[in-house]
Amino acid sequence: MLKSYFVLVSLLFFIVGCNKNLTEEEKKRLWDNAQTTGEIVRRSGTPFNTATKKSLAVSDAQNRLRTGGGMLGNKASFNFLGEENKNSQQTSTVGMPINPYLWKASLETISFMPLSSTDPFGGTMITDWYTVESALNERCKLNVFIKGLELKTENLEVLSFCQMLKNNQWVNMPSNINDNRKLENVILNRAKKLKLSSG
Amino acid sequence: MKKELLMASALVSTLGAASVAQAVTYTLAGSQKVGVEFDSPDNGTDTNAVLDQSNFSISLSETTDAGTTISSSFGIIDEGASDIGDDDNAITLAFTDGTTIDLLNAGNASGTHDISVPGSGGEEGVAGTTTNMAPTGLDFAAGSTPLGIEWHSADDFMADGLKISASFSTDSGAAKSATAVIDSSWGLGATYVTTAGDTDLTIGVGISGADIANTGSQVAGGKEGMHFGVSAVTGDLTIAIGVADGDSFSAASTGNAGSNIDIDGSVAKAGISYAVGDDITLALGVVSGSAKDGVFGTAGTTDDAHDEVDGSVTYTVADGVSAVLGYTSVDQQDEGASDDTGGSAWYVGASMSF
Repeated sequence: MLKSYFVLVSLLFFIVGCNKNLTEEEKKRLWDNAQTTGEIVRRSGTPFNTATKKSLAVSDAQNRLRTGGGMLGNKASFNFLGEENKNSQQTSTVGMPINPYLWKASLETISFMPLSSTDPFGGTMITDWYTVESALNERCKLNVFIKGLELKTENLEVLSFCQMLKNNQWVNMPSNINDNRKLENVILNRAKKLKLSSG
Repeated sequence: MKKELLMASALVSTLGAASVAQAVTYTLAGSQKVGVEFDSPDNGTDTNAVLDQSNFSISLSETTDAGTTISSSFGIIDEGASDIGDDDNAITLAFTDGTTIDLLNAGNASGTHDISVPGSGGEEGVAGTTTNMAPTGLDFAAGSTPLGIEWHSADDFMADGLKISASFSTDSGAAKSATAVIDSSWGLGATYVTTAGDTDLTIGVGISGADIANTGSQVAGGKEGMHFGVSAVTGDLTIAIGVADGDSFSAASTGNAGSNIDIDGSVAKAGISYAVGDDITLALGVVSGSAKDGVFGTAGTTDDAHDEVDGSVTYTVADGVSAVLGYTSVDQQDEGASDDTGGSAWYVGASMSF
C-alpha cells in the first residue's frame, strides 16, 4: 500500500502545477475526452449499472459513443414525457418532435427580430417584419421550418420575404435563395456548436 | 413542476398510453448483442456458439423545484439465460453544482476511476480453468455491498481537471456463513484530465478496502488494493496503460471445491485504438495478470498467470449499430505450471443500442 500512497502524493503535486489558464471551453473538452470507465459511462447516457453490470455498462457506453447514439438518439432514447435529455445529440421526444438544437439555434440566430409566432410542436418560427436603420425603405420577415428530429441540413428550411417601399406602398421583392441558404448555414453551424457543447 | 405534470398528462393522453398524470419522467433504453463465437481451446475441440445478450432498462428521473435531479433505473436482462442477477441501479441525486450522490447499489468509488484500456470490442473469451485466479480487470480489488453510498464531486473540484469520488458500504446484519462475503467496504478514486501539446491526458487512480465475513478460516489478505492508469488521446489515436495490485477473494459458492480462496494478485494492461474515419475503430490490447492463491488461512506460494492478446475491428453501421469482429488469444499458468487451458476465440456480431 505504500506504493499507492506514494503515487497519490506524487499526483497531488502534479495536479497543483498543471491546468493553469485553461478556458472553460478547454476544460469542458478535456472532460469530454476523459477515459476512465466512470466518465465514459456518464457521458454516454447508458442506463446500465456500473456497480453490478460494469462490463455491460462500459461496452454499451462505448457503442453509444462510437456510433453517435442509441438507435433513436444518444441516450436512453424513448422519452414519453418530452423532457429534453441534456446529453442527447438527437432526441426523439414526443413533446418536441423536432431537433432541439436546430430549434434553439434558430431562436438564437433570429433573436434580434421580433417574433410573430412560434410552434415548437410543428417546428415553425415566423418573425414579424424587420427593418434595419441603414435601409429604411426595405423590410424583411423570415419563416423557419424545422422538419425532423435529426440534426441535418434537410431538416431545416429558411424562407425570407422582403418588401421595398415604393410610392408609399410595400412591394414584394423576389425571394433571394442565396440569402436563405446563408441563414440556414448560420443556424446549422450554431446548432452543431450547441450539440458539441452539450456533451 | 405543476405545469410539467399537466403537460405530461396531456401528452400521454394524446398517445393513449395512460389517462393519469405521471409523477416522474421515464425513459426506455437497452441494448442487443447478437453474434457467433468460434472457440479454439488448447485442450479440446473447436466449437462455435451463438451469443445473444438482450438488455432492457427503464430509467426514472425527475427534477425538484430546487434543481436537484433524482433518478434511478431497473433492468431486465437476458444474457444467455444464465444471468438474472440484480440490476437495480442506485438512486442518484444530481445537484445543481455538478455533485452527484449514489444511494444504495452504489458501487465502489475506486472502480469508477479506473482507466478504460482499449481491447477487443467483441464478446469472445477463453474460459480457462476455474482454479486460475489471476485477475484481468484493473478494479479487481474493489467491491461493495448494496447498502452503500458513493459520492462524486463536480468536474474541476478543488483544482481544474480534477474530480474525486468516495464510497462506503456496510453489511446487511445477516449471520455469517461458510461462504465469504463482503461485510463492509470503502473506496476513494480520482480522475485528473490535462493536456500535453495536442494530447489529452486522463489519469485515473483508486484505492479501496473491504472487510470479509465468513465462518471458519479467515482471509489473510482481506480485500484491498489500488489501481493507476494513464490514457492519452491524440486525434483519432488512443493509447492507455493501467496497473493494479491488491488482495481479493473468491467465495466458496462460486465453485472452488467448497473453499473460499484468498487471492494476492496484480495485473497490467495496455491498449491502443485508432478510429479510421467516422466508421471504423481498430483496437488492440494486452493483459498480463498474476496471482498467488490459497484457501483462507493458507498463504498461496505458487503463481497463477493469465496473458492475453486481443483485438477487434468495429464498424459503425448506423446510429446505435456496430458490427464487430474480435479475436482473443490467452496463455495460462495455474499453480506455477503452464497448463493447456488457454486458447483462442473469434467473434463476429452486432451491437445495437436504443
